[in-house]
Order: sequence, then C-alpha cells, then structure tokens
Amino acid sequence: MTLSAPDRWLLPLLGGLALVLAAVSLTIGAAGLAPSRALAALIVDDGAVSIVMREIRLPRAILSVSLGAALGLSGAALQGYLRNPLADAGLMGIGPGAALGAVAAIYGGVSALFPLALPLMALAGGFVAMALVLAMAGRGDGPAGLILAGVAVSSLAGALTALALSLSENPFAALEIVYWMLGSLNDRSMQHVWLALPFMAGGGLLLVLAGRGLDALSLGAETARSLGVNMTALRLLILAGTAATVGAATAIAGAIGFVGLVVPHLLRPWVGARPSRLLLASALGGAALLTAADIAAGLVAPDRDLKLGVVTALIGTPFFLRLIAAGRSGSR
Amino acid sequence: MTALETRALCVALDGRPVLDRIDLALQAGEFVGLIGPNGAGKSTLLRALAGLLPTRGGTIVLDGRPLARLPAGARARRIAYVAQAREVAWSLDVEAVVGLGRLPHRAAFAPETRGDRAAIDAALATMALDGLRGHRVDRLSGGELARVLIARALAQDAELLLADEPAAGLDPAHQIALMTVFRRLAGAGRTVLASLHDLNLAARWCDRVIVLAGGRIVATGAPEAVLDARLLASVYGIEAHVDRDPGGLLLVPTGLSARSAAAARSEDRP
Repeated sequence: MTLSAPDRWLLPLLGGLALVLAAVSLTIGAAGLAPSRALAALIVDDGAVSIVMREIRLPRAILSVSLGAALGLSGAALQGYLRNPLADAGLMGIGPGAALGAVAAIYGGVSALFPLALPLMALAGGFVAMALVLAMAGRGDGPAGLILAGVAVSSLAGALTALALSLSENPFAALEIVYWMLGSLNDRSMQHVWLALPFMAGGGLLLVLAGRGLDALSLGAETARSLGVNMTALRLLILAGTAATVGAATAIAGAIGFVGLVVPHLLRPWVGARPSRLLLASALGGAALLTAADIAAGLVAPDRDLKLGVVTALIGTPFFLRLIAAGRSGSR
Repeated sequence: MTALETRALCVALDGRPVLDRIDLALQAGEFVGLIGPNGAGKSTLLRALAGLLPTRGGTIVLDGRPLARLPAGARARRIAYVAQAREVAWSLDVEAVVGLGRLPHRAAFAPETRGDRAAIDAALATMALDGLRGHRVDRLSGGELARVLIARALAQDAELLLADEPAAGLDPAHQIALMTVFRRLAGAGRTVLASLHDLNLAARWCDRVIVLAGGRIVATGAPEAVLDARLLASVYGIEAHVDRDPGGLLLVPTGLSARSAAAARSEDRP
C-alpha cells in the first residue's frame, strides 16, 4: 500500500524525537557537566568526564531508548493480536512473571552474590510465564482463552511476589524488592545493555514479523486464516516476542507500566489504525516517551531518585483519562 | 470443468457431527446457492470448503488435488471466503480493509504492486464503494460494511468465492447488485458458492441450488427443477405459493406447513 501523508513524516518525526531526547538525556546527570563537553567526551577521551559519560550516562540513554522501544512495540503487537486496546504485557502475565523472577533473585540473596542473576532470573521468569500462558490458553483462535490464562498467570505471579515480600526477614531485601518493582534506570551499566539488547532486538524482530498476520487478524481469526495466516505460528511469534522484549525490559529496569498501553493508543489514529504500521511507530514513540520520562525524573528531582515507573504512570494516567473522555464523547 | 469437489465429506464440531457424507461438485463458471434452514450446516460446509475446519472423513478436492495438502498461502490465492460475522477490529478505512484481500498475493514487507492497486480499485468499483474509499469502517452502516467485506474478498482475486450469507442486511437494490456481481464473476469463469436465506434471490439468480438439511444434501439442481412446494414444506416446514414469470421462480411463503404448525401448537401447551 502506498504510504499516506501522515505515515511519511510520522516515523522520521518519532525517530528524530527519540534521538534528540536521547542526546538531551546524555547532557543531564548528577555530575553537572556542560552539555557540549559531555557530548564531546563520549567520542574524544576526556579523563573522568569520559568515564562518567561512557559508563553511566551512555548505558542509561541506550537503555531508555531501547526499553521504551521494546515496551511500545510489544504493547502494539499484543493489542493487535488480542484485538483489544487495553492489552499490554502485564495482562499477559509476562511482565509480572519477569518481576517475580527478579524478586526471587533478590529474596534468595542470589543477586547480592552475582549481580547479573537478577536480570537473568527475570528473563527466565518472563519465559516461564509465557509458557504457562500458552499451555493454559488451549488451542482456540479467540483471544478470550489467552486473556484468561494471562490474567491467571499475572495474579499468580503477583501473589507469589507479595508472598516473597511478606516472608522476607531481611528488611533491606524487602526494601530492595519494593524499589526494584517501582522501575528505574539508575546505576545500570553497559553490562546490562549487552545482556538486554540481544533479547530486545530478537524479540522485536519476531513482533515485526507478526505484522502481516496482525493486519489480517483485524478481520477476525477465521478470515485471517482464510487469507493464509497460520494462527498457531502467529500466537507463538507474539508470545515469544513479548517474552523476550518485555522480559528483558523488566529484567533491566523493573516494572515500567503504561508505555506499552498508552503509546500504541496515542499513535493508532496516525497510522490509519493498521496494526502492522503501528508496530514501528509504537517502538519509536515508546523510545521517545520513556526517554522523556527519564529526563523528567532527572530534572524534577535530581537528587531524590524519582522512580521511572512512577513517572511513566504519572504521565500516562492523564493521557489515558483524556483518551477515555475523548472516546466517550465520540470525537475520536 | 470441476473446480471443487467433495467426496463423502463429514465434519464434526466439538464432537457433534454436523455434516454427513456430503458429495458435491462445483463447476467453473457456476454461481451456486446454498440454501437450507438454520442449523442445517451451511456455514460449516462453507468453512470446511474454505479449508478452515478439520474434516472427520471424506475429502475435498480442488482442481484434482486434495485441499488439505495445499499450503495455506496457496489456498488463499485460490479460495476467497466471506464470513457471516462482519467484524473489523480497528478503525481502518475502507481502502485498507479491501487491501487486506491482497495479503496472500504479497510477500512479507513487499510494497503494493500495480496489480494489487488494480485489484483493489476494481473491487471497490464493483461493489460501488468508490465514494466510501477513505471512510472509516466503524462509521459505516451494516449494509455498507457487508459490501466492504465482499469487496475485500473480490480483491483476493481467487477462482473460488465462498460467501456466507453475503446478502443478509442488504437493501433490495444492493442485493440485486450483489447477485449481478456474482453472476458476472461466474460469467468470467469463476465459481461462486453463497449461502442465501432469501429463496427468491437463490431461485432467480443462481445457476443451481444445493439444499442442505440436517447436515445432508437433500436436493440439488436448477432452481426451477428443485424448488417446489413439496420441498419447501419438507425442508423448511412452510407452505409457499410458487409461481413463475419470465425472470424465473417466484416464491412467497404463506404460512407454516400443517406439520410445523402442529409442532408449534404442541410447544405452546404447558
């Protein structure tokens, strides 16, 4: 199909926005460096300044962009697959499953011995949740079985996380669990980047490959099959892609809500509501939104460690309410 | 030339037998009406012929080859299917929905070709949807949406079109327009099988009707040869006035047949 006018500038616009925001985020931080010197130190060696930039700010900027992209993309894919604008990875149990894996790592004390145990166990938790959802959902084409299974796995993971919290004898571990669950990008290193990026890239590729099937699925599962779409393969693509992207995102940054829910919602009218076109747009939009949220968190309370998950929820909720109000008045 | 054939086709839904040893053959260039009461198995038959249901027994043969062995993508280029449920999940525009019919012809991420464009334009023109091109489907009337979804199937440009109650919800003018579209397709060598509840549409426009009742074919043939008062009484339980004019049969249901009426009365009793 030929690109309509909004499509032509939407992707460059969102991509440019994400890049600019990433550059801005590189100039902000506790070290109080001048922006020009900070950016130059990334490339030209400038002693301590280069270390701050390359070891602290660069991983943070890369993670905010890639995590935002992963969350936006998975939200768009899940909404397309479930044909429901309210779906996100939390509903599918994958976010909560990953969170449970991380909490288990903190609770069991493994993460204190071996720092990467936390993201690794979170990733594993996401994949276990996905496998459970797949096994429980049965073989039907409809979204109802999958949503029910997702909600069940979500509740189970949430309950087990709460159990770990209430049984935790070490108050520091309990505090760490609570802070971790609020979602943050503080103190992440390039190690985190190298751990998460392959999963997010691979999962993202799976989700983008699902685009064609998602378009056909707009007409219902039966018609999609009559158009040659293999619904079993599509389900696997979506769930495996979501487990990899959201599992990795949760593994690195904890639970960051609303990006996957709000970004596809906001961008849907701009891509003519086509699920396949929404994928890339939501990835770029998610990258921009999460980076903006991270900048906002740093600007509003530079010394208070405002949690990123809190900021996205605070930004996301008014947007969401506006959407609901607009939908109710029928103006959209 | 036989386009599609079934031999002793049996289909069960959730373990309940729905179709029982269906033998039928659709010729290329034929517009066939599938008629029968609610629950006769019309939709199940159409879905099975579209390759969307597992069969319990028998075979479906498309152009001499078993349908089950045809890969889904190749099948989609040869069989278009219009579902009875008219659902579109998102607020897509008419052109985008019709364009979905081109998916089986396009490789992943391939841009739209001139052929795709031509097929979409032709389908829109055929269903008189040019004026609605840019309209969003969630703002259309039920009949307009029905026409969009038929245009989607036409854009698929398949040799066999299976349509489940395509005329339901259309006004008389659009019903007749749809019948002429199907006739034209048949005239161009395509094959159309459509389930119809309007007996007059079936009688006056179809080359042939297949009458389904209780999961079996009870009659098949030219409408004039098959549709008579006796058949309508036994299949639908109705009494009908059957007449003819130069355009074909005229069927006016006048009441329930004596047997149905007695059954209805006995259900009224406590």
